[in-house]
Amino acid sequence: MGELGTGFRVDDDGFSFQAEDGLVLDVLFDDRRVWSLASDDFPPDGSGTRSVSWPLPIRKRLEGAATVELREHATGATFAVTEASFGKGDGRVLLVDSAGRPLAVTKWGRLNRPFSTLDRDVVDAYLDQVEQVLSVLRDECGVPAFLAFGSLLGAVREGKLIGHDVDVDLGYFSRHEHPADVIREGFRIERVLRSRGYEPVRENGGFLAIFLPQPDGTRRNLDIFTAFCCDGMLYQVHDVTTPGSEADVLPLRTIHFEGRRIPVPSRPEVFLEAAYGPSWRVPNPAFQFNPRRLDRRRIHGWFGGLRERRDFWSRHYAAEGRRIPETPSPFARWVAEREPAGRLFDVGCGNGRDTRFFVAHGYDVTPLDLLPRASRRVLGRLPAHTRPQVQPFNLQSLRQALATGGRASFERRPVTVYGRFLLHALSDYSRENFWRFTSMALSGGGRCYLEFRTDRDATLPKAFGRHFRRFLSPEAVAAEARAAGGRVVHTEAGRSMSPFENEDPHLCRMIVEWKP
Amino acid sequence: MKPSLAARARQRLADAGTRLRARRRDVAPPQRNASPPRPGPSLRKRVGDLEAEVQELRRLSFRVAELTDLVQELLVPAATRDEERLRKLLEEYDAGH
Repeated sequence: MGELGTGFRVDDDGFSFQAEDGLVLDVLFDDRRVWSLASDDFPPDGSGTRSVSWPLPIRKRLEGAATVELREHATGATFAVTEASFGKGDGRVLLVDSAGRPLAVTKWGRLNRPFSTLDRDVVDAYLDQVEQVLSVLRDECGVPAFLAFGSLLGAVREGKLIGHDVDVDLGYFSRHEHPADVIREGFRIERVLRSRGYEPVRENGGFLAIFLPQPDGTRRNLDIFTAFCCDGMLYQVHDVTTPGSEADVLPLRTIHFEGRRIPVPSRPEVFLEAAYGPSWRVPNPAFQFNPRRLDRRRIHGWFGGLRERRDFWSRHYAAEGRRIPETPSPFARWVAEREPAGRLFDVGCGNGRDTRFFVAHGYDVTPLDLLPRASRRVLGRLPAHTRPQVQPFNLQSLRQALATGGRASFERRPVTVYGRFLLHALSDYSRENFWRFTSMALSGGGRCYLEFRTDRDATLPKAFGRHFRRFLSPEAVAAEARAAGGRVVHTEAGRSMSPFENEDPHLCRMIVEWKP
Repeated sequence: MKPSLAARARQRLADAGTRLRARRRDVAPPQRNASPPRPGPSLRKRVGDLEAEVQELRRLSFRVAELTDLVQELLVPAATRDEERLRKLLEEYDAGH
């Protein structure tokens, strides 16, 4: 533990210091910025001391010694500094990626490589890619595209990228006024980008993320946010909701940005004040978006919903991947005793444990999952010529449920739909889409095998703790299956079907049949 | 004989005054030092229910966009009964998101 007269104390859990309100501080390890914070976000106790816990990405890497410094962002002056030792490790604390490149915690709480740590040629190559995307949006999608959010802020303030930023944000203006038309136009833009070789990921109805391969072998994202006007208001997903009009956006103008001329809105200050508040001209690396509840709900209501629980599952597989069993589940073996090898859709294949089992037993498997990369390790053990490609499958997306179901209906033969530990992990809407998909996939006949936690499992111990689960009564699920056109041919419920660590869940196994 | 214009105007004014005085009698006089009524639990619940209904309606925008997009992209090849083209389009559409 380190200590200095300013009340600056550092240990494995965090640090404490004394400072007035309104201070923005960079946190440095060995003269390298790893994080920034605002004193206002950490109210002082009775003695005027503010206590800060290390963000989880930093806490997990705290082994060794470091010179920990708090530096005033505005002036660059050292506010407090101390030598600290963490954990039991030797050497210095290393906040770097696998190739030794420095990392910092972003405003979203994750580690990434900020622009200030990159070589100039790497930044230039990335900006070349940004300009290419701008020209695709303008020339091939036919929408005016411009810098947005953090990139617009840096461009207007200083003509350059903000050093602690990690990606470029773009926007485009939709001339449609109804959110449904804005979203539909976004689907068309997504297809154009995909046809040009990009791999856009749709985060919501007005936000696309493109992951661009970099010369150093990494990928850096480029985010595209939709802007539009409606009833005297100017909106840009997620954080611009302000009185405004098309005249605030168009005609676009260009400004100097990193030695180039890049398009920006006609009145960038309208966007900047709406997103960052009246003090947008003052650099603040600790800034956090905090839209009004009313505005947040409106934007989310129109455009949101696709990412429900995706971030949770991403964190879950990253943190618990090694604990999740990789051997076939008892349910997979149970199904294999009842269903001869044939065409099978493993819906929500997770880490791929049961897909691997079915492939090894001669089934022709299409695995489907929200996070295809979660099964990379397990399925990587299959011989390349038998290894199926996991298809991205987001049941929050009606388009995807219908399109994938439509593709499956082309089988025109009996198929099997397999869903283990799937139903209770779905929202009500996702579950509706699951039934839509299943009834389409089984239009040629076949069976759906389900294993899910029942309502009697709600209070029983959970190996992975409490998180979103919809505990379903077998009767309710059977009714949904029948409403989807299936016939329930088997139901059994109880415990001892799939015990794991400290839990022996109350489960239901159900078989639902569809006739062609 | 029909009353004059002035007489009719005076009568209308008198009727309006009568109606106004009648309304004043029906309205209870404000009490001194009374604090404004606080929204009760039922009003909070109604606002919460309204917010939920508005949000549900907002979500329809995404559903409408999805369905329109799906139909538009796939309807024409479906109408031409070109099964191979439809199968290919469906595969591309599915891979596209």
